[in-house]
Amino acid sequence: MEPRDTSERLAAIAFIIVFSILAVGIVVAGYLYYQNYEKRFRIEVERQLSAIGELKAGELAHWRKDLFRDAGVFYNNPPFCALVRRYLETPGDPEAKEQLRTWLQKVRESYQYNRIFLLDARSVERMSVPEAKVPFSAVLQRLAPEVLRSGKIVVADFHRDEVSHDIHLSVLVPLLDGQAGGAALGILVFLIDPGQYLYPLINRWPTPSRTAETLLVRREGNDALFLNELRFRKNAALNLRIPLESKDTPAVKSALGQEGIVEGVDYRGVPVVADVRGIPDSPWFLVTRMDYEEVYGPLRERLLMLVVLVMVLLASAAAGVGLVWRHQLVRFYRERYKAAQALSALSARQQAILAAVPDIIMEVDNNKVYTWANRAGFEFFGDDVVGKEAAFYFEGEQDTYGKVRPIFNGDEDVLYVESLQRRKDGQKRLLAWWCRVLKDDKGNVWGALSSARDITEQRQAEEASNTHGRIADIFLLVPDDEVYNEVLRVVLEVMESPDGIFGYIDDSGALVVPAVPQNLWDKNQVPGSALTFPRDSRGDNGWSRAIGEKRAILSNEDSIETPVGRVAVRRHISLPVLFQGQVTGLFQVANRKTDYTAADVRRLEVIAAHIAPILSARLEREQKEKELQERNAELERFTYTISHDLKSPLVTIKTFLGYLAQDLSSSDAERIEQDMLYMGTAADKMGRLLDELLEMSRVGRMVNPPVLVTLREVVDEVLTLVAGPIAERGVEVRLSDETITLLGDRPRLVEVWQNLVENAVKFMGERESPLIEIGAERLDRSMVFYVRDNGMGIDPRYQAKVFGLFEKLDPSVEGTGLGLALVKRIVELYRGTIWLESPGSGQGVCVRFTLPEAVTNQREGE
Amino acid sequence: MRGEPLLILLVEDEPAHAEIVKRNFEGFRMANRLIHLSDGQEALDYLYRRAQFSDPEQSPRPGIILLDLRLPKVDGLEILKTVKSDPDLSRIPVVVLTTSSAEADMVKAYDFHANSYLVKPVDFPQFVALMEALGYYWLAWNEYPY
Repeated sequence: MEPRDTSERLAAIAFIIVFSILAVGIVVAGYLYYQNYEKRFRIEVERQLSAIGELKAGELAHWRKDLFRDAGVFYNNPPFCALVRRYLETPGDPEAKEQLRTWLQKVRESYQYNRIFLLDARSVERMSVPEAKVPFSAVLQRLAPEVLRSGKIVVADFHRDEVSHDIHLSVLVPLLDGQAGGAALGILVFLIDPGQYLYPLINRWPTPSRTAETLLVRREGNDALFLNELRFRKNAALNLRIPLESKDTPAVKSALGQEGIVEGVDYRGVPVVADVRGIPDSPWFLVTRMDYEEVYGPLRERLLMLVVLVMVLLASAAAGVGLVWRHQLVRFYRERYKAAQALSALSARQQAILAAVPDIIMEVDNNKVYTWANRAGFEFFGDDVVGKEAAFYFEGEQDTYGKVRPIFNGDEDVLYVESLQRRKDGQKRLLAWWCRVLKDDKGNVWGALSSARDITEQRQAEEASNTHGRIADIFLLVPDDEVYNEVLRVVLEVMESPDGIFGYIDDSGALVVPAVPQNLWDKNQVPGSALTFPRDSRGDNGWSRAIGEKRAILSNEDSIETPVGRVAVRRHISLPVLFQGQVTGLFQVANRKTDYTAADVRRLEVIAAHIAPILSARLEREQKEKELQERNAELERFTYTISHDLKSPLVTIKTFLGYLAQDLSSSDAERIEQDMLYMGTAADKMGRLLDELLEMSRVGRMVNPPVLVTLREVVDEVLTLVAGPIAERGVEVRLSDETITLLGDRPRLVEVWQNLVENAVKFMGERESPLIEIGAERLDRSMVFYVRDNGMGIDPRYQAKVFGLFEKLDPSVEGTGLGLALVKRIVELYRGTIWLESPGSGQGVCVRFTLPEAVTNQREGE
Repeated sequence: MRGEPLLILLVEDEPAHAEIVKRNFEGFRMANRLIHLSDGQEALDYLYRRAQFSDPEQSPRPGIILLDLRLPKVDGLEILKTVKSDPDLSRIPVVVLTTSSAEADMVKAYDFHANSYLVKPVDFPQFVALMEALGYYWLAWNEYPY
């Protein structure tokens, strides 16, 4: 910008110089022209004045010469003298008198004298043409003797007649008589009225002029006397006189003998230009004058015109220069505009680019005060970021200034630094900065340009990934009983929380917390093992709501209730672990120093989402393991049975065989019989056991093709098989009207009901009107079968044992204890469950079971 | 030695085996008395004087308990555990007499502080020898704090 101003100023100066030169040229040319013109004008004026003066002077001289010549006619004219003498000597001679008068009459008429009169030698007037009543002027009287004595023609210059006050000019001609020795006879006076011819002659001007006039001056004493009437003053002739000291006056100049063109002030005090010259052979000086103003009026007009012209020229020059300048300027500005437009387009592009950059770009000066920001910068820090110090946005203690010091020292050009900063919405964000040094031309550091990227999510993702990795490792590597605790430890660490739990939901819907962190409890009340919170026990707390509503519960308020021994929960997030829409576990993190936020919930959710499949797989595995363990236990019981229950009758047989030998030798008949009975019983029992074991091993191994069979058909078959005991005991059997079709291995299904009916009959006790009810009812979508009796019932304490292999509640009752175990195995084969209900001893038993894979939806008759 | 005969509580569900034990102790010279109970629940009722055994006259404290493990209603190990964890009963020697030679049973029995664990031999002379040794040991040699 600055150089442009300079060039602009230079251009302006150049134009001013050009204009000045032009102006000076025009003025000088104008001045020279005017000078030249003035000179020529003056010469012309002077020439004109001189010409007029010369003409006038010539005319005057000529006039005077004529005057003398006329007078000369009488000056030496003997005939005339003789005539005069005759008249003078004989005044009464009428002839002479008449003759003379005629002469004079004629002369006066032809030469237009005012008066011609004759003086005698004593200067007495003797004749006058025309007749005059008044005496002649004293001037003439003074001159007459002189003329008479000298005998020369004398001109009486302009003089005023004392009587008439008229101005006259007189020529006194002595009449010389040759006879009388040259003495003058008398004087002939020719009186001239200058007003008649002379004055008009003088006053006549060849061209029309406002101020021009010719005037005649005579020197008289110390004055210059004006002789004729003046154009601008009346009665000036012979009255107006100007002292010779007034040398400025052209009249005086002429009177002092100066000739040529003079300038001065005339009788009116007006500046004039005049031609002054003397009239030869006379005391007269002719002044041909014109008012300066008139003479130089045209000059001034010319000057004015010239000035106007110069002005116009100057104006045109100025306009021209201005036009060129303007043109230049316009071109300059147009170029500048174009440049500015290009620059602005470039700038707009840069702005657009900078605005489009998703990264934050900030400029700081050496004081770390932000001086510029791109759009992303403003969007991150807020609109007021420029002017704020960088540290204003720091979150927490950080040595960012220390880290970027090498930039400002000039030691490094580029630096990478990560810093926690406050976003305009107050959120704490992690920014990754690339700082670049800014240097001036001389290499001095004046600031830094830094680009930053918000890596909060990225870092969180990294951390989450790291967390996931750690959790996955824990699931893989850590012993089972410590997995939950270890996972919880990691989660608490990530969530910066001191307290928390991690539990899973078991089959019954209870929340099981396998490992309870010690710090969740008061020091002295740490439970040793897993805690189980049954489904029913849940109240309206965070855990229950999280599990029930399948969503995270966030609370930053103190929990109202704190169970005895538990650490008070001041704030917490309770988050269900969801897998395929099912709650499989629960996290609670609690008592962080700062409030939990939605962001924390999200973090925990991410972790939970990551854990969910692992946890599910683990729970499934545990379930499988549990089943496997049950199978193993069953197998173990099976082998145990071989070693115990089969061994038991063997021990009996062998021992009583020993006794039998003893008793045979002692011939104790009663004992022999007893011994053999024990042996027989034991052998029977052994045989039955072997049968049932075989049967048991067949279940699930030997499979008949599935057939459709109704419950009624099954029950009918069972009643046929158990007809003996039923009849013996007199038991009534009722079958419900429900018609259900089963699809399955018929002999196995029959076995189920057979065993149950057998058991019912067996444990009927001494009850009157024994009754067995068989049927099915729909509960919650699934078909539940029941076999109910009103017999002995089962003590609730032993109800769980009855389905165990070889479990017998009553040693006195016949049986191996395999019956219900067999039923359970068959039921489980059809993915069903079996349980029994008995209010207690003597109140009957109701065995209920389901057979989901055997029940069809087909109804009889459909 | 004692003047009063030692009361033996036999808990055995198998009548044949109970008969064997009875026969052995009958032939023994030492004065003794044997009470046979055939299930676990009865045994506990007797020891705690409940139900039909509520009369203390009818249910004197046994000097020794011969306990089978496989019992109806209440398992032998459960009885062992109950007895040994009850300060009033824990001093009564409990000799496990079972057909089971399973290690699990044995370990559990000892864990529950069984005083002895004996497996019923299948061989008759051995069984007789065992019962003889048992009788001598517990009835003759063993000293009781009561």
